[in-house]
Amino acid sequence: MSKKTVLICDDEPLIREAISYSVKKEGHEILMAADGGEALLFSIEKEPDLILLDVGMPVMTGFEVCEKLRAQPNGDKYKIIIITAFGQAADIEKAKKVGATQFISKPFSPRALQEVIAELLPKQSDA
Amino acid sequence: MLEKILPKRLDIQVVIICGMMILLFVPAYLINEARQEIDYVIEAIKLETKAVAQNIALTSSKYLVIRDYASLENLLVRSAAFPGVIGIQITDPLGNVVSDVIKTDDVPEARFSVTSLEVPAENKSTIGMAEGGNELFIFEPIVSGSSIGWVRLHYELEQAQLHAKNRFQEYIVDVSILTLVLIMLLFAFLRRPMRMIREAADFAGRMTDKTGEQIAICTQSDELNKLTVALNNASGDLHQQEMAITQALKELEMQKLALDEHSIVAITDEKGAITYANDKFLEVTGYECEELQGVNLRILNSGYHPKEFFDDMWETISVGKVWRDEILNTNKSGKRIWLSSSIIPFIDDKNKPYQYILICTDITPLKSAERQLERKNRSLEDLTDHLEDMVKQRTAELEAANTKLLHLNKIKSEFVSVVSHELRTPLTSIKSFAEILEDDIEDMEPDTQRRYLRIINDESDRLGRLINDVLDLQKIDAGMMSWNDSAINIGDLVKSKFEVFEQVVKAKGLDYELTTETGASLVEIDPDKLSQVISNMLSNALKFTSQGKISVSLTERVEEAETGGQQKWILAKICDTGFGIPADELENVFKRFHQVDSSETREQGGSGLGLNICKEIIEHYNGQVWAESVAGKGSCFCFKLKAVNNE
Repeated sequence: MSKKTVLICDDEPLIREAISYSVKKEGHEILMAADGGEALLFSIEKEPDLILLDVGMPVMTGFEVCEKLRAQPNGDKYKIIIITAFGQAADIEKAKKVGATQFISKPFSPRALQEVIAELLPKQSDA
Repeated sequence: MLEKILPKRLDIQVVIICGMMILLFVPAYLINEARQEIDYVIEAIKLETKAVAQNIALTSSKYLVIRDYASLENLLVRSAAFPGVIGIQITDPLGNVVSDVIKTDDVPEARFSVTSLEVPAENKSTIGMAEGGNELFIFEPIVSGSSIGWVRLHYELEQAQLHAKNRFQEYIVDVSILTLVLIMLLFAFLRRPMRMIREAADFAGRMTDKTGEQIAICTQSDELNKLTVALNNASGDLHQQEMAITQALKELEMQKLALDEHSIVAITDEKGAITYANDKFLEVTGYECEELQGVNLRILNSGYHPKEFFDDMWETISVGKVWRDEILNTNKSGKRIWLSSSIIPFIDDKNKPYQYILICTDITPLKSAERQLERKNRSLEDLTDHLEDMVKQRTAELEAANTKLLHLNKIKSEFVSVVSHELRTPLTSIKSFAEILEDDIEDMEPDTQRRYLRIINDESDRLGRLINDVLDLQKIDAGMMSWNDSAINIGDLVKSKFEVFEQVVKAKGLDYELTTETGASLVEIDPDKLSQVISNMLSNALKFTSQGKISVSLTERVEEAETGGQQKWILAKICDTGFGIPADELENVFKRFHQVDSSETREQGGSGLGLNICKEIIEHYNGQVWAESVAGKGSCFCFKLKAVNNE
């Protein structure tokens, strides 16, 4: 079983911690970014298997990061989850527009997040 | 002449004329009849008498031959008894009377009344009439071989005339009865049509009343039928015409009234001499009616208009055209009156005006208003120029205000959006860690459990603070915040607030300093609000300072007041030795949800609203709030408030 890498991008340390818990529970490696700039940099350098992007971050919003990643050569390879504000239809629309693979809404349930991660990063160890 | 005698009633006239004609005709007829009757009787008598004479001649011949004169006389006496015979004579052929019998009192008597008679020349019977036609003479020759003498019979026609008279009387009675019957029939037949004619005549007479009355149509005769129908039509037409005329007159009267009510009216002759002036004319001109009668209209001339003005007027009206213009006149008391006038000429058969009607309206107030208006117009034009500038300026102001408003609206939307985001952050942490604890509490170290629970607790506090701040701002924005102002000593308040913070500052290992130089100066403010400002600024300083010191100073400063005179201010400064604020961010720190972009500040977990609330509060009291900083060395948050002038 090869471990997958998940990049968690959020300016709120407590939310990064909460997300990390769920990712670790799924058995994946963790990378963290505290603003949009870091998120873009780490995504390109480390090529994580999954990127979790908060929308409201300093330097660059999650939407911008997503859009820039998709604009890269082979930009389609990134699996990106955007964490939008709950009930903000405009955010969901925008997430789709900038090419998010999936999106979840704040406040999210760690269980639901684990399910989405499991869906996007199937465990091959069973094979 | 006949018309004078006859009564006026037509039917009576007809009856009388008819009666007269009958009366004229009948006697003529009667006389003719009687005449014929008499002629007939006379002819019969003639024949009868002739037969008597012939008989006498025949008989007497034999007595003559034998000269028996006595028998002859007897014969004559007998013959004389015949009614109507009044005498019989026998003569010889030469006319010498030989025997003579005369009737006296209807008794024949032989006596010689004449000696000889003139006998007819020819020897044959002759009849002759005596004078007056009352007597008849018949000569009959007595023949015995040759003529031996003559018989002369003298006959009286009295009987025949009597007979004729009787017949005449009978005719008169018959004719009278017939005439009477005819007249009655005529009268009976003519009565109805005549009555009809009379009624029609009366009706025609009444038609001048023009009441539109109708009479019964006569169906008895075509002519009368036509007459009554025509009369009815005429009456109806007359009535309608009368109505139309009455209506027209009424309208005319009302028009005159309306004209008199509204207008100034005068009538002049062809030379301009006044023949009529209405009340309004008198009222406006100030003259009495008698004063104006026959006076030329020039009496009103004010001398304002040039001669050409009136020449033009006369030129127009003298050819029968209407003239209109505004004339300035002078009334009796010398007051100038403007009249908007129309002069209408009345034209005779020869197309020459024989009178003029002058209709005017007093426009004196209008004229003076006009002059005022002109003056006002001029000043208005000046004003307009000024106004245009003002409008331009105001438009620019409004545009600026609008831009500001749009900007504010954008800020408001952003505020709502940011609030929702900011509220979600602690909520997400609370929910996430609560769920993690719920799922995995058995597998966790007690420290981890405690840490997660603390996170939940802290984040709940943060959420609470955030909600309070948002609500405070909302209240301030909506003008619903209650401000319980009182005059307080700001130094005392800061000291008491600082005592609470002292513990925390000490615990964090920081130095602190408080300087108050405000003495007994008072500030008019809500103490809770001021306390909130100081707490916010102190906790901010504490939050961003990890080493060094926090110092608070209160000083007084006197400045020139905007309204003139001196104004004393209380100046407060809360300084830290934190990492400072970049110069370009100094103004932004008081904006809502603004935090200097840095993961370091983010970790401090502020709501981003505290300083904004401070700004709102201080500005509510017409104070000022600002920040000073040297990056990397520390920041100062400052405000100043007006001190109450209690001296």
